[in-house]
Amino acid sequence: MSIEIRNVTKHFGAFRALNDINLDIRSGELVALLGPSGCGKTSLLRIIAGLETPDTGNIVFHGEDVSQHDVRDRNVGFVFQHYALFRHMTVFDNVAFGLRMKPKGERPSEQQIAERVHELLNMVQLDWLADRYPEQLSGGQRQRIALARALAVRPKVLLLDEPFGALDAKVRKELRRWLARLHEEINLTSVFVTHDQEEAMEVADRIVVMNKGVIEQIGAPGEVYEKPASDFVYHFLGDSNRLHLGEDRHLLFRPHEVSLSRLAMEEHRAAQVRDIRPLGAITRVTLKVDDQEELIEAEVVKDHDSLTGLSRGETLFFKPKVWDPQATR
Amino acid sequence: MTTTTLSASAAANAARRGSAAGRIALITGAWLTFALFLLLPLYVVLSEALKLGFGTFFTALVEPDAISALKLTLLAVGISVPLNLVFGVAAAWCVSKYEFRGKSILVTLIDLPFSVSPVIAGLIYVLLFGAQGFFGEWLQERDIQIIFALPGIVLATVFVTVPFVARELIPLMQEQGTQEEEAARLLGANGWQMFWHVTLPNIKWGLIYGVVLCAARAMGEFGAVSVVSGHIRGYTNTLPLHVEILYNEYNHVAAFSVASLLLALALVILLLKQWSEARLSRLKSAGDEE
Repeated sequence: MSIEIRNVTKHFGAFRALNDINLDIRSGELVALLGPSGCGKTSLLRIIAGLETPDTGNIVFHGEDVSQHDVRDRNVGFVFQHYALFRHMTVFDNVAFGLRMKPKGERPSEQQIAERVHELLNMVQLDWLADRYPEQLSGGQRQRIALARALAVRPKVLLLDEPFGALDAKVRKELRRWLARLHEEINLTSVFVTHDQEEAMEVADRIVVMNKGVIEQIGAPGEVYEKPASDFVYHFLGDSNRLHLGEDRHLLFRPHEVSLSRLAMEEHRAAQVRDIRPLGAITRVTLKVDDQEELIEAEVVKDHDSLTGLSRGETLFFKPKVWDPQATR
Repeated sequence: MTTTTLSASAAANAARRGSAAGRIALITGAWLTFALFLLLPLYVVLSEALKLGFGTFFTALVEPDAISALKLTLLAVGISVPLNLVFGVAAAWCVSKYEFRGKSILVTLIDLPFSVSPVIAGLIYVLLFGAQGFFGEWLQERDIQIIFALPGIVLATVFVTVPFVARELIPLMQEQGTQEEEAARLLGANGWQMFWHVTLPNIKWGLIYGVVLCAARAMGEFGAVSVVSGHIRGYTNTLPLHVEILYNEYNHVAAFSVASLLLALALVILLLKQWSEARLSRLKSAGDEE
């Protein structure tokens, strides 16, 4: 099911959360809404779900304008950041809830419900927790139960609000890979909100970068990373260095886009080594250039020639690999 | 062990002994106060009631005026508690799930009965619905009696017990937020299903606790009811008013007998309160672990 968002604007009091948002999401796509907190990404997700009403604009599901449809009738699966599992119900009852709330004519029998619930619990690999209560589960388990609950009613669209936000780093990584695989399998149009660019890059087919209520750029992960449409997108999608060129001109480059040398070389600038941090496969060197306060960070493979016997205070020569006046932004 | 740690542990022991003495003194003080102000009066009530033996005690209880007072009290409680239950849930829902202008004023107004003297509350109703009151003439023309009748007693009781349920639920519901309700709606529940399957189970223990407090207050209410009741024996006397009348007539044994009946009801309510409170705190501590 495709989702079209047409000219959506939303205010909260005097604060403009969304300003004339237009976005097309293709059927079966996994899209990330990426941006800093307060950029409007969660408001947009809630408007798609029908939990908030836009001031102006329309939401169209597969050609049908659902703007006036109540939350109940939109048939979206929604996973909350803090899961919002029903605390007084067992895992089984949580997952069965959507099926049990169906009007009498459409409601499956208890046996069919039980089959469906166990099928979903098996899918999220937590069938053995069916009789537990949410408070007895870990964060990662709650998250998967919340997902199973959302999928129970066979939604046409899956919306996830910071799905991994409340989890610790390791569980987070596992879960997002798992989610990407799951999306492949069930092929549901999915939109998730995140402020973590790594998460968006790793999971999404397309990334929508948002800032201050507007969309800065829409594109595939590689595209937004390699060809950022604005300084904001450039900074938001990864670590960046700013090298002043004088007269208000500066150059932006990523820490790995740099060439380092112990010897003075053509086009290379001298800098003092402030810090050396081995980070596994790569090593990060912090450099201080004479005529600017901002430090420069360079990342090179750990066995790079320039690192042999290097210590703080020494001089290194560096050159951004995008040394090109065209790249000046 | 070095001398410094030795002396330090000695000092810690001394402090512990000191605090132990203080603790014993405080606990003894608390028990003495409790005995003096609660157990002693309880003992007095029961011993006065039973002074002339069980026979007189039961006669005072089964006397028609006492029975009618008990019935009226239970009726007033039976009407006002459900009313305040509905009002309390609605008000708490409104305050905790929606944002609107004048919300803080509404919350303050809910507390008004706590700060207004019950006698004043009773007088307000007399001034509104009494024969000389604001609506007096209109009511008289239609032969509707509010003051010196059951409606007045119920109104006065409702007024003084308004805050109990709402006060208990507002913080609980605010803490729980609206996400579970949103999740229920997203899963297809209608308003009633959402309330019945999600909201109500989440507030159940707080609600029971509020209702128990509300019932206790409704049963014992004296001031407001006294003003609107008119003290018509066998008709508009509630239990507390009946106790007062008996006492003023120097019928001490009967007064204390009826008082011990109120006391028994209070003890039942106390047990209910203890039970719901325990469930509620367990619920809250479970919630905190999240």
